[in-house]
Amino acid sequence: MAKQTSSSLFDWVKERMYHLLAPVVALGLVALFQQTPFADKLEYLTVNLRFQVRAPLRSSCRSASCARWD
Amino acid sequence: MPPFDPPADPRLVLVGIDQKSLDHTGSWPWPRNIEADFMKTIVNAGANPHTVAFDLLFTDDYDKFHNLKSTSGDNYDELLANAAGQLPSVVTGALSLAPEHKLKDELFAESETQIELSEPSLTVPLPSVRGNINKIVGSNVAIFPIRSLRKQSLFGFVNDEPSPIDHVRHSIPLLVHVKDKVYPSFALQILCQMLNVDPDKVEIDLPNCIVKLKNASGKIWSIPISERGEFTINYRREDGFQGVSFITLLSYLGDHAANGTPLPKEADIQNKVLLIGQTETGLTDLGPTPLQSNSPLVYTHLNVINNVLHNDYLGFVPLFWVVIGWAFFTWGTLLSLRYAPIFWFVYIPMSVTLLYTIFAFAIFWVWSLEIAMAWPILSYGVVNFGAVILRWREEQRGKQQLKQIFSRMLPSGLVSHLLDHPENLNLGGSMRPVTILFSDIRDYTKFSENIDTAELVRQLNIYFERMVACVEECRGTLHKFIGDAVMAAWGDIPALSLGVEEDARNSVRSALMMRLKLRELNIERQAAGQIPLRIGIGLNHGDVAAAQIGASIRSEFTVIGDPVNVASRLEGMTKEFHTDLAISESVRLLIGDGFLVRRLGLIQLKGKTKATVVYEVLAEKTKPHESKWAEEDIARYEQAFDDFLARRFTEAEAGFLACGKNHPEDHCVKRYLEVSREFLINPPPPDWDGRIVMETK
Repeated sequence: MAKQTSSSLFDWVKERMYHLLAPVVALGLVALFQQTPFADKLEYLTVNLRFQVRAPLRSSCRSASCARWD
Repeated sequence: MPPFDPPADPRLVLVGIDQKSLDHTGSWPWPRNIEADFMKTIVNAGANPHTVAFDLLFTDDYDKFHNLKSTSGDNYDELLANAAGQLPSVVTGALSLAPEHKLKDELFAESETQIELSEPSLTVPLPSVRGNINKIVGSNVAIFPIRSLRKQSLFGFVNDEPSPIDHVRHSIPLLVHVKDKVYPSFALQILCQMLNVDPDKVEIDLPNCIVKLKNASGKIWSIPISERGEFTINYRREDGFQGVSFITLLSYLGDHAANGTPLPKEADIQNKVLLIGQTETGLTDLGPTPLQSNSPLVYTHLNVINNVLHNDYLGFVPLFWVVIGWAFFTWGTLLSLRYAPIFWFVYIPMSVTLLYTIFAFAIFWVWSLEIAMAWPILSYGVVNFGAVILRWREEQRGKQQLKQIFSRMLPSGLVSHLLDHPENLNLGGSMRPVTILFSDIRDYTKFSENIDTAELVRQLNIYFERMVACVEECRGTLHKFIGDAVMAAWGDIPALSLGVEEDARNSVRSALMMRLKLRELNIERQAAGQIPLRIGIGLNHGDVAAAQIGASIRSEFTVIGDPVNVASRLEGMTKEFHTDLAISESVRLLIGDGFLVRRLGLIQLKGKTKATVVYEVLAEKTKPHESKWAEEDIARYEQAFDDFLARRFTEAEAGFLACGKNHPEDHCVKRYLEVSREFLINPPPPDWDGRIVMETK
């Protein structure tokens, strides 16, 4: 019975080898990727985008004194 | 929950050195009497600002720096210092020089810095620092405001180098070290003035990345910084700050001082903090921020001050939780979709990515929380893409295996069709114009009775292998083996059909190929001492039901209908006419003129009331050498056959006799010659139409 269980577990793992290991490998590669300037550049790109998307979302200037600069 | 979106602090006023100011006072750099006049006017107007902060460097003697002399003979530096001394709080800029910007004579520069640090100044270093100050941005060389100004006003460091990665200012130093001392940045110095915080009440805790400001009443502001003393700016809309042109403000204040003209709202600077900086495009103090590609950098200081005043700090989701969340979703997606159709493998990860993006933007909007986006989305996409490829390969491999298995039992074209369209597996079918081929071994009993069963099966399999290959090569669908008979069809599977005419031509080509392959097989058989095989092939075309027929547990794809029976009958009648290939009139009409064809007769098949012309295909016209009959012989035969049907038996006899010279053993020639002669003696009844009624199947 125990043998049967371990065998079916082995089959289950074998059938999902990629699905179980790929995330681990990917995290390892991400750790290496994060050392590169390209990773920072990409992340900054998303950060800048978030600022740009957020800025116009402010519905109105709520300070009475906030006259528009010109 | 509404997003936390604090307004620009009303105490902050941006005084812009804009084009209007430049037009009025002359091009940049200005003589320092202009800034001195500005401060004097403020004093004369009794405007009482809380702090006047110049985001400008007054770091070297004016004459020396600009190689200019004042026109009036006044010392502008002295004027500036004296004017600053009349205001309660003035802050100007200092600059720490990074190694690449250091002066050529480094030792000289360091000693100059040391001398300047030792001289009397209102600005004092921040005494309470915990941690390694060498980690803080700075160097041993810095340039400070001129001596006279340092005695009358405060300074703060205006260093704001952009990120080397994307050249955008994401953060600026809140602290700067010069040698072994730590000084406040321009923004921090202004904050200390605004919040009434003494330098000794500024606690710098580098290990915990915090700067604490404590005012006289005990109120504390905790400002998050990096280990390098940098503050990450939470940029808000730049147009929210109260702003006024330098020259406009000067003009209002001047009028107010001289004539008592009331100050308009935009010039109301009572208890406010004025930040004076360059705002005109083309001046030096501009650069990229996340919001603009070329923004006046005085806004970065304004944003820092406003962030601190409103506790409006950027937060960061810890990497640990991002990794945990990423792993949860990645494993969750991969494992839950392990055997899902490829569509879901694409749809679900795309949805998760979209939701994550929305989530990242939402928490940034609502709580100013930054969460890593680039690597989680990229790696999640790559891992799932790999799973899609894997799944696709598995499906292809599975289809291939299924195809291999079922191709032994079902027509291979049908297997491909059903693998691509499994919905067609449902029982039922449709009427389709189909050409049906029946082939059968002549004298099968004689062939089978003298050999044992195993040998019979072996020889039959060799025979079927060759015949089936002909059907496959001509895009036919092999339907079934019925004993020694083969049934195939063309046009039954829409995906394989090339149109009724081409399907019919392919069926005839297949039959001719079978005839040829049988000749080759017979040569091998005779060499092996086996008796040669003879076959009969019948081809008919008509509308039949092409359907998956059977019970739910076992069914087969086949064609049923009267045209199928006719094909079988045609195959049967080849025996009677001593030929191996007979086609019906419907097939003849479809195949066109590409084949050498002759009429076998007007035949009334068994069980039928109507007679139909049956033809024999001799060869494809492009391969006349495969035909036993030359084209002129066929023409002669056809003429004789026309005479025969027209009861011109004398001409028919002559025609068939002529044909017999080249084809003395031809059964049809002999048969029609004999009948013609008989009808010459005993003419047929008036209702005779030349038909031959088949009594057997």
